[in-house]
Amino acid sequence: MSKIIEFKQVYKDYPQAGTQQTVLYDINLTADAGEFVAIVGPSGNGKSTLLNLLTGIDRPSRGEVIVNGTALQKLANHKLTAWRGLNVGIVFQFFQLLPTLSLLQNTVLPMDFLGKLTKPQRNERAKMLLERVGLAAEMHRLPSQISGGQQQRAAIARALANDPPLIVADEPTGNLDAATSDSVFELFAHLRDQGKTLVMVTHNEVLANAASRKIEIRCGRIHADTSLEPLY
Amino acid sequence: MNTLWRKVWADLWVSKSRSLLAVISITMGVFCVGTLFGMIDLQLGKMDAAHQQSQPSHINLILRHDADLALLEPIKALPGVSGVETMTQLTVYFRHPGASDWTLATLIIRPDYARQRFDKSVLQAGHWPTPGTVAIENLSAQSSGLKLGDSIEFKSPMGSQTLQVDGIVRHPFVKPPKFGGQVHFFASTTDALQFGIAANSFRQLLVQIDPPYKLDTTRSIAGQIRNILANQHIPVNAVLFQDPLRHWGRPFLAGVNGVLKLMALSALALASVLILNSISAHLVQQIRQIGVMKALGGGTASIAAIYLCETLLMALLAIVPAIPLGLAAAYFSSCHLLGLFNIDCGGFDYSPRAVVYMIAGGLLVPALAALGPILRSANLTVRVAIADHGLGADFGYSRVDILLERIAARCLPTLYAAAFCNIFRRKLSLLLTQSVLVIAGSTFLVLMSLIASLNLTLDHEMARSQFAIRLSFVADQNEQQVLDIANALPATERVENWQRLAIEMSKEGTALRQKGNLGAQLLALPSVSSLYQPLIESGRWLQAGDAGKRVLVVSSDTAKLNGIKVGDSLEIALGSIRQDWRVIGIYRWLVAGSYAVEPVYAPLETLRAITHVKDMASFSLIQAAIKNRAEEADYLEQLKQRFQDQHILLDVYNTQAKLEQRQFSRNQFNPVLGTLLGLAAMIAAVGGIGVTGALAINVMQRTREIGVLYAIGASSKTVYRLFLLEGLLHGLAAWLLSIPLAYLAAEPIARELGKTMLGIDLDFAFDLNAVFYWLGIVLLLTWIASYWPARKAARLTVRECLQH
Repeated sequence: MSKIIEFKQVYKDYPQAGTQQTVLYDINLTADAGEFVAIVGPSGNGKSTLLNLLTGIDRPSRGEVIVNGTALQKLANHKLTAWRGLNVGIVFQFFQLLPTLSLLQNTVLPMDFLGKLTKPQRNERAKMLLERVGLAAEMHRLPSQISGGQQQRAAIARALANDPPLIVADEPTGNLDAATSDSVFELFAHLRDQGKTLVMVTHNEVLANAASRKIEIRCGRIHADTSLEPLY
Repeated sequence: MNTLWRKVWADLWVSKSRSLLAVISITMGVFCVGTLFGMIDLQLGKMDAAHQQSQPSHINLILRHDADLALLEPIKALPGVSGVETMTQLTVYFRHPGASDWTLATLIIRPDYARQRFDKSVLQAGHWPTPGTVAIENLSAQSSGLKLGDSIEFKSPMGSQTLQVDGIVRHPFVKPPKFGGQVHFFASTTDALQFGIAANSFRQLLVQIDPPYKLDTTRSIAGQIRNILANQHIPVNAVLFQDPLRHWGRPFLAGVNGVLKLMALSALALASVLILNSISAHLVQQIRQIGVMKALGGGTASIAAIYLCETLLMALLAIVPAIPLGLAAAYFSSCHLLGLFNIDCGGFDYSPRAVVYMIAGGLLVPALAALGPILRSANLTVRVAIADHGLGADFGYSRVDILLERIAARCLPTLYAAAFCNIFRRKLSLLLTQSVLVIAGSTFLVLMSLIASLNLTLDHEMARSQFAIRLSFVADQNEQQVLDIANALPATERVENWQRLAIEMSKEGTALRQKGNLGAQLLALPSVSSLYQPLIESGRWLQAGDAGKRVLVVSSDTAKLNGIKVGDSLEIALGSIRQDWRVIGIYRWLVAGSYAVEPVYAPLETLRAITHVKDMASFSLIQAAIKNRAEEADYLEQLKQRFQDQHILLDVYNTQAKLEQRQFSRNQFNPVLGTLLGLAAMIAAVGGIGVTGALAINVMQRTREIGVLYAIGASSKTVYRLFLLEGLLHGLAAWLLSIPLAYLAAEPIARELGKTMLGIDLDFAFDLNAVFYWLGIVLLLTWIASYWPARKAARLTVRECLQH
């Protein structure tokens, strides 16, 4: 298996009250393509910062973050944006679908930004993705017209729009009930089966234990890194 | 400082941009109110004060010939006359010594400048005229560039002489040169002799009557004076009546002020819209804090008080700069407008009423505008206030939203569809911003249609004029001599001679009220005239069969003022001859303001039969083979030269080429139109600030959404484009909405403005070109307004956005 994620001696500091507050210490981490990694740990201990470094939303203060062969800390902002569009699909806790666009348009939008496919091809792909997440009948509806679980499914479809090798999810089930969380999690498992690498921050221990690997972050450090037998 | 006050200050400080925007919105509104109400008060106050200071004559009779001072005794003895003074005005030519071209000017001669009683001129610099020197009028000095110490060569039928400019004088009644007035000089009675004015003679009579001033009494006394003059065979060219308390330019400014008041209220209303927008946005961001405060035990009243304090604090911060700025703008704008009437503005002055309005409006309007959103927010339950909905709690809940999204999805690319729907997310904000822009757009289109209507009206008037040149003489000339001179030029095709005579009109014993406060003038033209015909509103124009009959065509203004209908009989006084004449037609009179002599048309043959003055011409209409203004100017120059060679003085006020006349007629409306367009620009600027505010607030409220866009691959350029597009869509929507609104409103408003401000009934034309000008302006305006918010959005980082 090839390595898709590499964190080499990564530190992240934030200025706070005139001093530098370190939130991540000496993170060394690798993940192979096709892994399903759950990141757990108490709030405020660096999980989201780790995700931000992984997606190029933030840069490390020291060390290297290499994702899919690209050293992110070396990329200029505008190149990072293009890189992210191609390589990472992000799923947020509050779904964050654009409220004025239908599910279909929300799914087309990342492809529009990248501009690789023709317009009919983009539409076709978006329809196919929405069908895959079980939203074929809802594709012309607005986010406000569907349930939270459906919105999160649509957000997953959007994350897959440019067929990125890496899907990153920040508390994807944090705002969903148990049954809906299960269905979303099942979707992630299917993605893993299709060869996607998934990294998910969650507080839900049951779901975390259903991943193939669980990394626990405490006080900015990797406290535990455990391989698991996937449930799904 | 207690905790709540700390929160008030902290809220304002933390959201500096938004606070600043709200403060600017209030400042703009208060500034507009102060400027406009300040202008209204200062203009009228200063205008009337300057008028009263000049001790205006109540009756000003302009005579056609010199009259002897001995005539004054019977006039002074008339019951009701409290004082009489004389002066002389004559037309002369002047030039710098050695220069080739002569220019027409008016020379004013007063018997004793140091002891003027009525229509007082004021010495501004140098000295009053003495033998060998002249003074120049203030506006004339400005326009001609002549200054103290310059030598001027004058030419009159009596020969030429050189006099030195030794004083600058402000005259209360001269027409500004930029509106067609000519240069005015003042000379001593000693030098008057060399201009052909005999000692102890005069050409103008200034009369004051016993107080209180009443127009009917004044007219009656003027009639008695005219009888005395007529008995001495001295015809009167014009009679001017002046209210001693109210400046003659008041009607013009009263029209302007009516619009200013409307604009001031609109500006305040628009500003309150902007304030409402800013406060609502502020409260949206504060909702979670409101929930927390409520959870901690804060009551609705105390929470509302915090945000009301914030609003009042911003209002106070806005008023501080707005008051001095508004007062200064009112003073300088008033001075500019008063300058058109040759009124000295004096030292800095302000309107206490404007200050009161600024303070009251500046505090009350924001407080009232904010009260609704504040109470709504303060009343939210804790659960609703602290709920987090992620993106999109503001769109997609109504059928309209769904319909809009479907239309956008079908017709537009995804990004454009997002921009299109985004502008409908905050409907109140959209409504407010759109109303500001639509009002600005409609105002612009209505004003442009007013200008188009004015141009159309003038074009129609020009189309009714078949002559190329109207040649007016200072004194009546022999008809044959005029024909010979004019026909000697090859381009001349036809010459028609007219006569004019000052008249007095009455109906059933009561003197008629007139729009033109310089009195009425009978314009007698050949009954078969084909060179001019005014627009006849009722009845008919003169015909061949009218020759020898006492028939008249009067203006619609006079007809309305006096209830005159076609077929009515009027008593006309031609000197000492009083006869009944029948009204056969009513025409539309195109003139700005009321400082004019009103024409009354009658057959020339009839006038000649009554006065027994034959073969004389007061002015000529000349038809000529002329293609353009250059040829017209050249032809007029040749005509002037020929008449000058024959020592015939032309009356510069009334000698005009047709195309030039059109421009002149158009120019007389420029001050009003300029003022109106300036005010429309002010409203458009408020609209621009409205869009900036709406978009800036959008950026603040949608920061997390911007982060999501970045996270799914949008570049800075895309985000910039999205917000710019939203701004432009605001402009485009406002443009589309303002067209039908302006189309419906333009005609009644243009007609009403035409009547109140320009004093004429306009032929209406909707300016289609202006629709496209406004598109350009509104797109530019919204582009400028969206530039900074869009730039700010494009510069946000993903992390900043997602942390928001």
